[in-house]
Order: sequence, then structure tokens, then C-alpha cells
Amino acid sequence: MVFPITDIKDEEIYLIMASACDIRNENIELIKGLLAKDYSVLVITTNQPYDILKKNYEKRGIATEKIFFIDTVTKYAIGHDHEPVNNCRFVNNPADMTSIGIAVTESLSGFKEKKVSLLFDSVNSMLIYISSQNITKFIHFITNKLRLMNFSGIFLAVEKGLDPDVLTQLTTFVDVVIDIDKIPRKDS
Amino acid sequence: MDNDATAEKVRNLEALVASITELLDVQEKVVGEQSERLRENEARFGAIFEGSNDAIMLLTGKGFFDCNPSTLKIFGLQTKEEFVKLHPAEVSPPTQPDGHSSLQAAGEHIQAAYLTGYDRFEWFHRRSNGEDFPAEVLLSAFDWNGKRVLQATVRDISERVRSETALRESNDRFLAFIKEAAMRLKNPLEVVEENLVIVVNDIEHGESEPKTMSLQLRIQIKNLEQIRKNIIELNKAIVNHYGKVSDASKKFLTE
Repeated sequence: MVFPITDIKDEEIYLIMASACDIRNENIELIKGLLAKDYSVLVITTNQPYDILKKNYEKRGIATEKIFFIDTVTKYAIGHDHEPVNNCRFVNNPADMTSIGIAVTESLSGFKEKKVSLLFDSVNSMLIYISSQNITKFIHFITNKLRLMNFSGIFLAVEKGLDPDVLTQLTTFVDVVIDIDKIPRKDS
Repeated sequence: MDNDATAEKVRNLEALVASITELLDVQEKVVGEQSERLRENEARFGAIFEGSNDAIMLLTGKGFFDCNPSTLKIFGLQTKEEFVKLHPAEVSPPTQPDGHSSLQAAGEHIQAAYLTGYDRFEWFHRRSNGEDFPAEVLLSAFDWNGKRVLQATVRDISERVRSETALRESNDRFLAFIKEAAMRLKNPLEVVEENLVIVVNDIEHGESEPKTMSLQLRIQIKNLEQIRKNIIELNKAIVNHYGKVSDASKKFLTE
């Protein structure tokens, strides 16, 4: 099941819940939909590295010119710098909140376009590296930034396993919470 | 004959006097013993009253009329006279934690004790320096010198409440840590599992190059390293919380 991107409104912030096996597909479909709606997209990835995401997008016919990436995992996994890439910033590691915060601020400021959306993939994989308290603070920081700049944002999270208290806090930062599994399936 | 009769009467009278004297002696002895027992009881109850660590006070519908030294100590007062002038609500904050007026609630408890013979409840009292403290109160009604009287026993439970609160907070902190740990173990393992499934699928479908696979697997190794560190953090919290863990187990759990 994929969230119908046509339902996404400008300047709104979403928390999309999906099962673990749907997250990758959900990421691709959301990107496709956002580009189709003429958004420029900032992808913060804490799970799939830039190289793999780029390949996956291209394999599905998605042009990556209007996508900018903040990759928090590649440098950490390979242990050295990735060769420079125009549309990606590689952060030292997923726990380095300061560097990620700076990268987000600079990247969002760098967009010349009016229609910008941020896709954060994913809350759950970031929980490997930082506490729920810090992730809550971080998401609050990003949502504030998006609202100040009138941008939209989508946070992907694995549905099951998130502490209900953390989920409650996250829902207060977003405008809409969508549980992919609860969207009625359309007969094809 | 007359002399004999007189002598007989005298003997009888002497025997009667002796019996009465004996009876009086017995009675005196009984009264003496009873008085002694009474004195002992008074001394015993006096010692309990005077020596109790609990505040014990006596009151009627008109207010307090006696109290023990602990009452003065607990409420921070100097003299009994000072204390007996006060209404129970005057040694309490204006309202209890449930929002009820202390004056009204004290009246209700006193009424209940008079009706049923006793009342036991928890209460917030106030010392003369303004400090509030939690107390357990037992009111017992009894007849004394022809009057219906209440004995109020007030036990300062500040220490107990502090310990209970500390324990509850410790358990809350522990539960919060367990929840956090579960979230940082269960979900991440699911993330790693799913990522590995993707790698395997890509291999099986011939869609993955060695370089891509290697990167994907390196990330999963890093994820697993971090999950192992998270497990050790959880174990440390468990060990610190329970304390009673052997050194060998502690080493195994936390290294």
C-alpha cells in the first residue's frame, strides 16, 4: 500500500507510518509523487546510502536533478570520505546531530525554488544511533525550520515498535499522521 | 447460768469481730491490690502515652484537651496549653492534596469516628514552622469520665512516603529505560533484518553489484555494532538497578 501523493498539501508536515518491508518502496513512491508535483526534494537518509538510493531511483526512472541528499551512513560505514558529489552532503555518522542540523539548515537555505519538500528516511533507523529524546528534539528542530521557510516535510517511520509516548510527541510536531496499512485499498 | 450465757455471748461477739476484722483485712488487701494494679495500668498507659513516638492527643467535640510530648515535637510547639487551643484544621494546610478544605474534611473524619468508633486515614498536617508533612491518622472513640472522647494518633510518614516516591521514581526511570532500550533494539533489528532481505533479494535477482552489496552489508555491520552497544547499555541499567548481581555475571553482562 502506498500513500497517494496527490493528497499531500503544500507547507504541511506528515508522519507516514509503514511496515518495515514497505519503507523502501514508500520512499521511492513518495519521491516520484513529489517530483511529479514539481517539488524539489531534500532527502535525509539514515538507512539507505546515497549510492544505493540514487541507483534505486534511477532504476525506477526517477531523475535525480531536483533531489538533494544528506547521507548520514556512507562515511560511517566505509570509514573514509566518499568522493565529492554535487547533490549530496555526507555527514560523519548518524549520531552527529550537530553536523546533520547544519547540513539541513544549509541545504534548505540553498534551494532557490519555492516548492521544497523534505523526506526523512527513517525515524526508526536513526533510533539505532540516538535516544528517542534526542530524535524528538531533532524532529522538532527540523519541523520548526520547515515551518519558518514554508516548506513541506515527510517523516517516514516503521509503524510497529515505536514507543507510544514517543509517537505521541512526534504527532504533536506534524500536521497529519498517516498509517499506510490503514489506507483503504483501491480495487485495480 | 447467767454468767455462762454472758460468757458465751462475749465469745460469739469476739468471734464476729475477728471475722469482720479478717474480712476487712481481706478487703483492704483486695483494694490495695486493685489500687496497685490500677496504678500499674496508669503507669503503663502513662508511659505509652508519654513515651510514644507517635503524636497522641485527646479531643472531644469542643477540641483538644490533652496531648503527649511527641505531639508537641511533631507539630513544633512548646507547651500543651499552646496545643490544646488549636482546632485539628489549624495544624493542617488550608486544603488537602485532593482539594478538600481541611476544616470540613477534619469535621467529617471526627464525625465518622464518633459514629463508628474509629476512623483511619492519611492526612497532610502542618508544623508550626509552616512545613507540611504526610501523616497516618487513627481516631478511636471511647468513654472516659462519663464523656465520649476521641484519641487521635498521628504518625509522621514523611520518610515512608519519601522512600515510596524514590522507589516509584526509580521504577519509572527503569521502565522508561527498558522502553527506550526495547525501541532501540527491537526496531533496529527489524530494520537490519529488512535491509538484509533486500540485499539477498538483489543478489538472487542479479540486481546488485559487489560494491553496492559490500556498502549495504557494511552499513548493517555498523548497525549491529551499535545495537550490541545498546544491549550493553541496557544490561548496565539492569545491573545498576538490581545491584545483587555477581561480579562474574556483571562482567559478562556489561563488557
